[in-house]
Amino acid sequence: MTRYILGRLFWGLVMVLGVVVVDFLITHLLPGDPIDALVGNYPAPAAYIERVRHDFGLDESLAAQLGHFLVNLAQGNLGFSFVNRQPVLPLILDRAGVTLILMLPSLILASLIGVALAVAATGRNGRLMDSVLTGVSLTGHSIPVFWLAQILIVVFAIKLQWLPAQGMRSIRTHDPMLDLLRHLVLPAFCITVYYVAVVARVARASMLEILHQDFVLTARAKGISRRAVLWRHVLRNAAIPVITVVGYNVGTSLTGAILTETVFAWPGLGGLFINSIANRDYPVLSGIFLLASIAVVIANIITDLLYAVADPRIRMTPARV
Amino acid sequence: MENNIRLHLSRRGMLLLALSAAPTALGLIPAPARAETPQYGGTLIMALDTDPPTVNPNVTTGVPDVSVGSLIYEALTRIDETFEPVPSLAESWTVSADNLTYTFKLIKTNWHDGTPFTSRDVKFTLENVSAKYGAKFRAAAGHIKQITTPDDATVVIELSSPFGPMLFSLSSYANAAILPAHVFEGTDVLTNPATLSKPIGTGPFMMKDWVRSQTITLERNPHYWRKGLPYLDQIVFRMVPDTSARVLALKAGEIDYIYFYYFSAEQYSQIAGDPKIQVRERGTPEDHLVIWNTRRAPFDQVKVRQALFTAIDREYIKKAVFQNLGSVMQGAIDSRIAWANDPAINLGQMYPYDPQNAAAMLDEAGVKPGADGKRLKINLVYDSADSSNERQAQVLHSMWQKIGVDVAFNGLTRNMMLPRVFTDWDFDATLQAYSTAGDPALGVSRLYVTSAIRKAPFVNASGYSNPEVDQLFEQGAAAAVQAERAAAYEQVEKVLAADLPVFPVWQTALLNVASTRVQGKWAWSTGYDYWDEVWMKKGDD
Amino acid sequence: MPIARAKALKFPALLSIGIIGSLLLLTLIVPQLLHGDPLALTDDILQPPSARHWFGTDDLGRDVLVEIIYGTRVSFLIGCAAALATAVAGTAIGSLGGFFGGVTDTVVTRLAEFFQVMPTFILAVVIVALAGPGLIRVVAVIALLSWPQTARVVRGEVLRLSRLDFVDALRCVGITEWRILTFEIIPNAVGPVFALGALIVGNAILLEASLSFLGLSDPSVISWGRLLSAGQRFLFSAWWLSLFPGLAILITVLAFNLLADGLRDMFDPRHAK
Repeated sequence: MTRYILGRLFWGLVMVLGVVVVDFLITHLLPGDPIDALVGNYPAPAAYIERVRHDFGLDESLAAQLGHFLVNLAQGNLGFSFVNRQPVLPLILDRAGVTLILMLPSLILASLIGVALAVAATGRNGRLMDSVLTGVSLTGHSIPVFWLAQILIVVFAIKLQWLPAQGMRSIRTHDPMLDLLRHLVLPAFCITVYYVAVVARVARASMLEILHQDFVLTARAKGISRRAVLWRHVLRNAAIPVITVVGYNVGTSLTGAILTETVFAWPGLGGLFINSIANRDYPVLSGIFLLASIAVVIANIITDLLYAVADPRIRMTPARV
Repeated sequence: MENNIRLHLSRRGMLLLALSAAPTALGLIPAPARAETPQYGGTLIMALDTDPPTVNPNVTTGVPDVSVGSLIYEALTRIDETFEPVPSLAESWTVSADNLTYTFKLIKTNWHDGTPFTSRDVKFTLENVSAKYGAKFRAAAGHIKQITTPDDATVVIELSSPFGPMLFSLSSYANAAILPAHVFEGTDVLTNPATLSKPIGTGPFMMKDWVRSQTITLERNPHYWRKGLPYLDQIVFRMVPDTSARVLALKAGEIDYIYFYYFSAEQYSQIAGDPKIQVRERGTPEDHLVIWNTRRAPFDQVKVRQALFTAIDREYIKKAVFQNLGSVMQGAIDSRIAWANDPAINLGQMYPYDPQNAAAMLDEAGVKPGADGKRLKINLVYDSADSSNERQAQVLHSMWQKIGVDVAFNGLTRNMMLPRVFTDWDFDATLQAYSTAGDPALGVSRLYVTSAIRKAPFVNASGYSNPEVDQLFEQGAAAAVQAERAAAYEQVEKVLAADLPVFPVWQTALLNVASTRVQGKWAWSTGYDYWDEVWMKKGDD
Repeated sequence: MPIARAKALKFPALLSIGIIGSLLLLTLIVPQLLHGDPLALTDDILQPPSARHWFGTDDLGRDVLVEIIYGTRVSFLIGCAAALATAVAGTAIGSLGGFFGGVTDTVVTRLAEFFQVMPTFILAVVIVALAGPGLIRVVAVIALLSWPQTARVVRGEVLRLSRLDFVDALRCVGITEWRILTFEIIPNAVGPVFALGALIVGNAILLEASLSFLGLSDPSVISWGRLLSAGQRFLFSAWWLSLFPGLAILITVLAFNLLADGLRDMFDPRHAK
């Protein structure tokens, strides 16, 4: 078990390193110069530009820059953001926290709704619910999320004026918690719609599959009620694919909300990412890639461990690709 | 106060002319039915796009930096609504007859940390910060011979040659806000905390609190030297990166103010008719231009450029791309810098829109259609982040198509556009917006003079070089009297109207939008206002 | 119940083929019916939907319906080209891994895993933002990011097939490994790729729209994504600029997803039982 986890961690580390190096090369090899964001839009004195270039190590060769970056990384130093003039690590962690405030409730809600829909669809009078599920899931997969966000803003923020359209907090507020919740409703809805679609689909497919397996039929034959079988046996076994999907999405969710965050001006990683591209803020871009890939690797490992809990039959052999 | 406001309104007539054609013009005129007594207190929330990298208005021209910094740091002069310099930290000044010696008398005040403000701060800042790091101060710095400080309250600036926009260049807009020498001396200016996040100024507001990527809060300076000011308790800058998000937040009452930098004319329809929002058109004039690469055939031919200009309908561009706001630009110098612009020069009348004539002119120039009916393909480069560029490109494409000229769209992100246009000179034509910087010597000459043909952003990208133009711009910058300067600029406009290395297209509508709660002297200057005389109306919150 | 389900699924899949077919037909027929330049600029700027302009007009006075019909071409083109590229790359890589096993398989598996760890959407945004938008680039990026899914499925199928007896039989007859792979195994393994392909067409259309929304679209062609990003500025004053292209995307992607469902049921033995 320990060896298995160590092996997974090792490979994860290799993957993360690969992602970071590839990203570093992509961002640095493609055209564009961070200097413009640093000195403003007006022709600056050449000496000043040279000075800034030197300060941020932009006058070194690519290999040297990569070397510095990796050495610093090994020491836990993600570098210094040109544009934000602060260290990258606290900057990114801060924004990631804000993104999680949006993503975690949405993912939890989506998992609950998704599984509930699947259970209802496989239940006794499941025909209607099954159509509902298929409809919800297909629509969720097919709807452009930023478009949904715009429509929600027009309807609920502009026309009806029920909910705020932008940001995470109002400045003029008396009840910060309620204020946060009000800001959360529309973006969280957008994200939930997508993940309900993902979860419901997977949950339904795996539950249907298991419903037709022998041990379920045996249980039914032994006179255990359909409801009991569903809840005790089917759901437990169907949990594995659901865990996989949710786990993977927890990993990607850190950056997965870029579009939603953009439309709702949610001050999370998405906005930081877009801004960093525009300004060629390489250290921040590298940091975001690093964080995102680490999150995916960790989520994958945890998912694998949960597998074992959900289904003891699974031995610790990496069967998944 | 009442008279003051009225006066400003009447002087604004010139700027509002542009808008009077629009049916919505009435909605744009800030018309306080009756002047009210200013009220103290309140918090004004202003939008920025992102955290400013610094709060030092002298080391960058970045909008967020200067927006915040110019409330905290003050300069010797302020720029008033007619682009004339008026006293600030310098309460008065005299200029010698030969225009070479400027003597400033300073006000008496303290820095936010209690240290007295003296002439030493002025000398230190201009020599060690503005001259070294200030892109906009550069031209002025080149004329300064020496700065002396006879006493704590006097600064003498001696020039090596006369420089028309000298007083203008001593404003915070032009990278010349005065910094505390006792804080900066002997330190690295770029990394000093007073540059990065803990400013110590003389201004009406002081740094209170900075929540990265969310808000910057400034609080009232209780010891501010303008007695009884400022009115506001706090100014909060709120980071809202998305353009439409800012408008939504304003409509929802979550922010009170958006500078024109962050509000594009395209969004005007979103706020038109909203009874809770008011608009003032004000800011350093900026112009949308088509710059030609005159190094390349056939764009090196005057005739070809004239033909291409004749084939575009700039009125339609104004209407379709810019919501009928702003105005069509009729000469090389923005009409809003009224003293330097000659209204007799009118490109619209010189080259009326006429595709047939344009085609004939191209024939004459030897640019004839090929077998497929196409004469040439223009490699048009522009910054794709500014959405008006793409739409303008489409309109130009559609108009030039009528005379057999194709457009290759090259909408690039800003970071790719800059080297392509300004370093590699790899373009036929490019869509750009140039700020006039308030004075032709600062913002316009860089487009045309030979000495500005450098591999650097926002200089003479066209490669246009004309000794006559060089000489006239030099005269305009050096002349002592405004009228003499004007004569030179009017002559320049005439030459450029014939040569057309750059097509003047549209004079940007600089729309500052505010909640109707915002009262007093807002949006009255270059675009980085002085917020001490602004107050918030209470009650309808 | 399985039989009833098969019927129930058939209708949506047929419907989706109908929708996709009629959209394609529209893009072929409508431009023939319009004379002159249907996308010429006019003075009818930002007109709301009316009898004359069913979906209204945009900021340059062009008919939104006509624009959507023209945009269908590009959106379909991007979708199908991306799906094709993905299918070819995924099938090639996946079948190599599944058939030859050993080191090849390890490399393929690890590569696929690597791409799974790679934050794909942000990578797409970075590449297109830094390298500039172009149709081919967008297609290449989509293919680059979607091939592992196809490769995994193909690898599994190839692995299963190559252990069947007939493969050994062919070997005995002296047929080379490459011939077995390309002529016997791959044709039998690509069934599920069709279902994935339909899915990827939908995803590619969505991804193109997402990139466009962030301002990363090719300005020289009209796509639905670009219409949406252009309409975004007029959300308050001209909702029709956003509503209709968004609906077009929704309906089309929905159709492709339904088609993918139907195809999967057809090819996946577990669902077809």
